[in-house]
Amino acid sequence: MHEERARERISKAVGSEASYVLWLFVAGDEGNSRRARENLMRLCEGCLQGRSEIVIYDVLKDFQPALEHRVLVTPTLIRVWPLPRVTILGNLSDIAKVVAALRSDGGKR
Amino acid sequence: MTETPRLDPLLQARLEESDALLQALYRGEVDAVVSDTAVWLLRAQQAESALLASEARFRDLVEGSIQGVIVHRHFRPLFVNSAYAMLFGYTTAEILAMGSNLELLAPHERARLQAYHEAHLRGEAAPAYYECQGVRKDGVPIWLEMRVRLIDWDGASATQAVVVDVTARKRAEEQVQRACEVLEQQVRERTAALEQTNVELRMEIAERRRGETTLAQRNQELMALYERVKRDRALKATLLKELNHRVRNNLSAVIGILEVERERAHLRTADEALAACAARLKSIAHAHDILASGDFAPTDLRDFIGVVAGATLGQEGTGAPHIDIAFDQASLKLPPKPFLALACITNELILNAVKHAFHGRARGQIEIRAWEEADQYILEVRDDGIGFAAGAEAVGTGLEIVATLCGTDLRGDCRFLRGDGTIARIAFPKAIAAPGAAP
Repeated sequence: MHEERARERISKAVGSEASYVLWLFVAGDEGNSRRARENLMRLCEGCLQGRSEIVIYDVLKDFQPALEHRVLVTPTLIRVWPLPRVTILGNLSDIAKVVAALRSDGGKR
Repeated sequence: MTETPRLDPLLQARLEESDALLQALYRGEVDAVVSDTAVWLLRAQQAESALLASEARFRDLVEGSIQGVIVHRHFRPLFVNSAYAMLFGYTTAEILAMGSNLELLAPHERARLQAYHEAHLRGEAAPAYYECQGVRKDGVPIWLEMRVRLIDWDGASATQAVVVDVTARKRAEEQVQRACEVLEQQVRERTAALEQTNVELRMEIAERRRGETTLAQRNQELMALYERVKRDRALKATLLKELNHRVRNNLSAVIGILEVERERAHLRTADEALAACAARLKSIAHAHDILASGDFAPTDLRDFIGVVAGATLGQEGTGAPHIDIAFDQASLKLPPKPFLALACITNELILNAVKHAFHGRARGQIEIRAWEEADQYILEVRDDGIGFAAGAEAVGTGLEIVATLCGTDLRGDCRFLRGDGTIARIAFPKAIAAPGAAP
C-alpha cells in the first residue's frame, strides 16, 4: 500500500515543477529528529527554493514504511528524485554536506 | 600487497553504509533504531547517561554487524566486534588482550600498514581502502578488505577499521588467474606451433613455386623441341620431295645424255662413249652433292666450278698443256634445276675448251664470268685458245648437250663468239631462277 502511494507521489512530483522529492524518517519529536525537520525546512526555503516535495514519516506512528525502505535509524533523509537514490543519516546540521550529498550522483552520507 | 583502487561495488556500498551509520552514531545524531519488530529509542534523561546509553546501543549495533570492526590506538585494540574476532578465529577478549593487532596480519604486511597508519596520523595522503593478508589463529592465511578512518575515541584520536573477509573471492581470482595463465600458455604454444606450421608451409610453397618454374621451363624447352622437330620433319619432307625431284631430273638428264650419245654411237667406240657418259654423270653427281649439302637451297655456281675445275685438270694426261681456270667472277646463285643445267653446261664448255682450244700449246687460260643484264643472267666461258673457224658449227656431243640443256631447261640461248680464242655465251631469263618457277 505504502509503495503504491510512494510511486503516485513520485509520479506527481516528477510531473510537477518539483526538482527534488525528499523523504525524511523521524522518531516523533526526539531531539535529532526535530533538528533534522528544522534543518530540512531551512534548506528547502534557502538552497532548494521551494523546488522540492517533502514527505515526513514518523516511525513512532508507523515504522512499516521505514522497513520497506531499509531505514535502520532515524533521522534518515532519502533523496527519492532525481535518481539515483541518496541516503543521509543524522540531524542534517552540516548544511553544506547535506547540500553536497543532495546534489551528488548517489550513495550514503 | 597492492593497494585496491577498485573494490567490489556491492562490497564498497556496504562498507560505506556501515561507515555512514557509525559516523552518525558517533556524532550522536541518531534518535532511534528501527528493527523488524520495534523501534528502539536512544533517548536518555541525562547527557551522561544518554552518552552511556548511546555507546551501549552503538556497541550493540556494531556487535550485530556482519562486518568485522576494530578500533585501535597505535594498533593497540580498544574495541573489536564478534565478527572481527571470528574472522581471525579468536574471541574478542583474546584480541583485546593483544599488545598489537598487527599480530593478526601477515608479517610481510605489517610495515606497509604501519606506514599507512603513520601517514594518516600526520594528515598525509594514504590509502583508506586496501586489501591485505591476515593470519588466523590456526595459522591459515586469509585475505581482507579494509576501510580505515580516524575517529575520536574516549576523547583521543583512534583508528577505526571495517574489515571483510575476501579470501573466497581472492581464491576465485587466483583460480581465474591460474586458468588465464594456463590458457595464455596454451595460446602461446598453439601460436608457436602455428608459426612453425606457417614457416613449413611457406617453405613448401617456395619449393612448389620452384618446382612449377622448373616445370614451366622444361615445358617451354619441350615445346621448343617439339616445334623444332615439327620444322625438321617439314623440312625433311620438303627435302625428300626435292630429292625425289632432283633424282627424277638427274635421271632425265642422264637419259638425255645417253640419247645424245646413242645418236652419235656410229662416230665413236662404245668405250669412248661410255667414258664420256661416265665423266658427264660424274659432273651431275658433283652438282647433286653440292645441292644436297645445301639442302637444295639456291646454290652458287662458283662452288660447282671449283669442284669441276679441279676434277677436269686432274684428268689431264702427260704432255697436256697447263691450263688456268679463273672463275672468281662466276658467282651466280641459282635454284636446283637451273643450277644443275648450268653446271652441266659449264662442265661441257670447260671440257670442250680443254679438249679443243689448246692444241700444241704449253699453257692455256679459261675464264668464266657471270653477271646480270636487264632481265637475263649471262654466263660466259672464254678461252685464249685457237678459236674456231668462221662459219663452223658446233657439232660435238658436248656442244649438243649444251644447246639442248640451254634450250629446254634454261629457256635461253647459246652463242659462240670469236675473241682471243673462243667465247661461249649463255643467256637465260632471270624468271627461270625466280622463286616459284617450275622446278
